[in-house]
Amino acid sequence: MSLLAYVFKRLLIGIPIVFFVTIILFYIMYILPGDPIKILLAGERVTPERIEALRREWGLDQPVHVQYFYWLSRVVRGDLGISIVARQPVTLLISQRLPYTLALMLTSILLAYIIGILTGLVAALMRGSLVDTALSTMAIVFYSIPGFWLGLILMLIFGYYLRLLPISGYEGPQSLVLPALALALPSSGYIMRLTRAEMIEVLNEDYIRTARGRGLSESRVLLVHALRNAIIPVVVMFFLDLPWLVGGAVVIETLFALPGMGRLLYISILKQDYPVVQGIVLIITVLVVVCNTLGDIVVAILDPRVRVERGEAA
Amino acid sequence: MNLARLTLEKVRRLRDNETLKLYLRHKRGLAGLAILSIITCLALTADLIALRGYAEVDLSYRLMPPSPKSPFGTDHLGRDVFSRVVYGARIALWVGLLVVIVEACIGVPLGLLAGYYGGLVDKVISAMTDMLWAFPPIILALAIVTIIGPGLTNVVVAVALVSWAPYTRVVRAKTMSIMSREFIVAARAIGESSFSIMFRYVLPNVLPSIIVLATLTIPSAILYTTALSFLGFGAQPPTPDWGLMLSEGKDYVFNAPWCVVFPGLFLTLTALSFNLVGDALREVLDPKLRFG
Repeated sequence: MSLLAYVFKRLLIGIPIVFFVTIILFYIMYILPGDPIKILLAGERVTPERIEALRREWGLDQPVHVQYFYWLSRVVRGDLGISIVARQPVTLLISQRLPYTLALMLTSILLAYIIGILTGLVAALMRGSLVDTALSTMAIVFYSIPGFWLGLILMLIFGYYLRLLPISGYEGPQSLVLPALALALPSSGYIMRLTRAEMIEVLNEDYIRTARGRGLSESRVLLVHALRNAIIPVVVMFFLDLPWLVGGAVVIETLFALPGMGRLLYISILKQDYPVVQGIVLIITVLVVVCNTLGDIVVAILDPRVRVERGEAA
Repeated sequence: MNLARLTLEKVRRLRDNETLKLYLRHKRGLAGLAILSIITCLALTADLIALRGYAEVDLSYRLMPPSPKSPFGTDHLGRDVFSRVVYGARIALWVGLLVVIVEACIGVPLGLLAGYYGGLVDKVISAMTDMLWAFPPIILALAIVTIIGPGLTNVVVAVALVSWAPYTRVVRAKTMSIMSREFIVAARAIGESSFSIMFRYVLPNVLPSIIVLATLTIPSAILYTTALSFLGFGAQPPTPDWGLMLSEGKDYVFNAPWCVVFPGLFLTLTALSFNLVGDALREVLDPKLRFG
């Protein structure tokens, strides 16, 4: 199976998943209490005839499955509906806040992977030493810390006692430092453990011994032969982690009052602004599917065996 | 026959002792067990060691720093933080256990079915599991809470509903490898029903992995439920839930840091102890187990 064929196949699998989730999402919104027309017209004086006309105009008098297709065709054209609270298009609301969330996620995932991979490599290379024990213990402690508590403690130390960094709202890139740390440190613990375990496993493989036997320099053995193979699961984890970070972002953005998508989701749930909730969950679903597909494709590039095995199994 | 059973019993006992010995040699596992014992003791004896009731308000004694009278200080309503932390341990342990039990009740049977029947059943269950796995649990749990409403019980249900995937994956893989073993072939030959094979023959052999998995998923169960309580969707006042305490304390974090430091510290210690114990159990019971 060529790489291109594999990529194509993976992309094809993603489509029905998104489709399936849109059905569930639509149905959930459908069964939720509240008449969308009445919510939209809240406070306005309108005749029952006008409501009936609107209902027909919006297709709300049609059966569920027809309504679903109306909704889907609007979504495909980039129309996620109108926020009940802000009275603005959901797409606009989300696009205003997305940059903050993306910046936060990118910063924190880079931090997490740099810290995690470096400490993991050091621990693996010094296996059994005091340094290894210290780093491994640190990793477990890190991923046992709840991000929101870490955020509060970071606020207290760097924002209040030392007065080095802003703690609330967005005043520039420096506002991202503490939230990014609060998100990054717990996941760096997982990455450290994974890197360490993979590296130790790879270092025990025959081909490493062969490479050493052939007289290659130690740095070449470690960097070219060992790291390349040890890093594959870490890369997969990167793509699986990305959507999970959105979950953390909801809590952290709320804590630090960052005007991102996560905080918008939180506020929308509180205010029962369902179109916004629906839109954000849809975007997260697409992100999940895209990340999974990318993860599989990157693995296929790094490890040609995958293509053969999965191609045959599927 | 009788002799065979006796020998088997002896072998099993020996192995169990071996397991215990291995665990006792595991330093981090012992440390985890020590922390966990202390927290469990606090939870069990909360009524005896709490200095005051967890909801006892004293407005004349608000936001007081730690002192002999109140070792962890008092919160914005003058409630004793130490007493609330101690009662909170009950909630945290109870919630962790409950979530994990519900997760296992959903995930384990699905994994058994997928591994036992294979084919289409496996494909459908695996597709569901993979999809759930990829989704950020907090977002899904939030979506469920939006529908069923806030509250500690609802949050427990929501978290359990979105995080059973690891159980299905592990049990499915284990079941598949067990299915080719001789005792399963023999059970089939004597006409045991599918149900009986899954639950009486396969399940006991998968149990060690499930125990390890349960220990390792308790921390995330506790962290997710407290995160939801922190956002205000979980426990409601005056419940001494650690997440809710952090949520209430965050408004006073600069004048009364003790309101957030202590609940968070105990939350971290609880998660840490389960992670340490789970890791040690994995190394002792099932070194090859991997998930996530």
